[in-house]
Amino acid sequence: MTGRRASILSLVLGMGLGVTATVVGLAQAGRLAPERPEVLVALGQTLEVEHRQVDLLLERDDVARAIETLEQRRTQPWPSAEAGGTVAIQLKRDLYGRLLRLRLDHPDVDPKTKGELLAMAEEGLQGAPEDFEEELFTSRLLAIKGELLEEMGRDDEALEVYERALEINQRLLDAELGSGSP
Amino acid sequence: MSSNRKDRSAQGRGPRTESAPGPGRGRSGEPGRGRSGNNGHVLRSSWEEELRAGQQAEGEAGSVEDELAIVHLLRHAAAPEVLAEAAAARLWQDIDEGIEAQRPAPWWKVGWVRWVGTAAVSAAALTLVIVAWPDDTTPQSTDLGEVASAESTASLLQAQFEMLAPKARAEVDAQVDDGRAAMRSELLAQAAQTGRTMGGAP
Repeated sequence: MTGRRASILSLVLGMGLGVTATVVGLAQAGRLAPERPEVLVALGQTLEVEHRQVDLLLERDDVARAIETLEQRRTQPWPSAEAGGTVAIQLKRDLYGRLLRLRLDHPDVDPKTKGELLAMAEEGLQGAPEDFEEELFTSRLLAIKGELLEEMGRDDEALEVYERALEINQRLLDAELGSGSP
Repeated sequence: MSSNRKDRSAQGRGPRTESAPGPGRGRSGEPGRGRSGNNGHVLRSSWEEELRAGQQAEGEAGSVEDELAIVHLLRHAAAPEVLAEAAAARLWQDIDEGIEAQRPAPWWKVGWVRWVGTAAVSAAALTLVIVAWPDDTTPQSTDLGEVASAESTASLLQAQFEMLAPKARAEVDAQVDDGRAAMRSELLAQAAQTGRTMGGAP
């Protein structure tokens, strides 16, 4: 290969490598990898089983036990973002969102006050690092928080929370449409 | 015509016989030469006068245009009349326009087709604009009066969640799988390091 061709080829490969690294870096921006992957795996597998258990209970219309199962998981200690990574935070917020949704839809089962449910929502939103990129489970939890604030007559706060949730969803939808996925 | 005319001319009536184009010039002689006062035309006004005179002498009346046209044709065949370039161009243009007028119009020039086609194209363009127009339905206003009620906003968010949830959960599952793969690799590395077997062989 002549010197000139080699130069052009190296230039093209270098540019491609740089672009790839940039894209991967941007895609990974805001994501924290788990320092202890076994923590994440244990949490993920446990929650997978429990969610399936809740699915089965709901199919049998046993809402009380479904809520009880989720409550037991909620009260267990959750791994930190450093230990379990950002995925651990998402798993936590997913569970909190599912639990609160069930409680709002079935207020007669193990009734809680709006204040208690609101505290539960805020508890689920804690623990994320500052550069955590808010995702779908966060937006659902925010939406549920907005519902609770609305029902409590705190409209301004509800509005703010709704807007935050809508911004997250809009970003996700734009990304979804941009990728060409149906 | 000719025979009658010749008979009358023989009798001294009717138009005189045609004169030669000019002394020393043949029939195919160059136009405009030897025809003093003609300026290259094969007919002279005297022809028409003599035709009319002969007609009156015979007690006839009417147009002599037909007779003049035949005489013109015969004379032109003998000595072609000069046609100026501009006049020739006008003639050809008239001929083309005549042909064009008699030619049936192409289907796309038919009146109703043109109107219908224009309307259809306009409708298609408008439809395309309306369909492709970016429609941002996300409520952005901070005005409480403009924000939908809690129930509708919450329903919207719930609907969006249900739409996006499968993919989000799949991504979470994938990352858990990555964690499993990392653990597996770590365990295998540890096993290789210690030199232990999985059982069976000593």
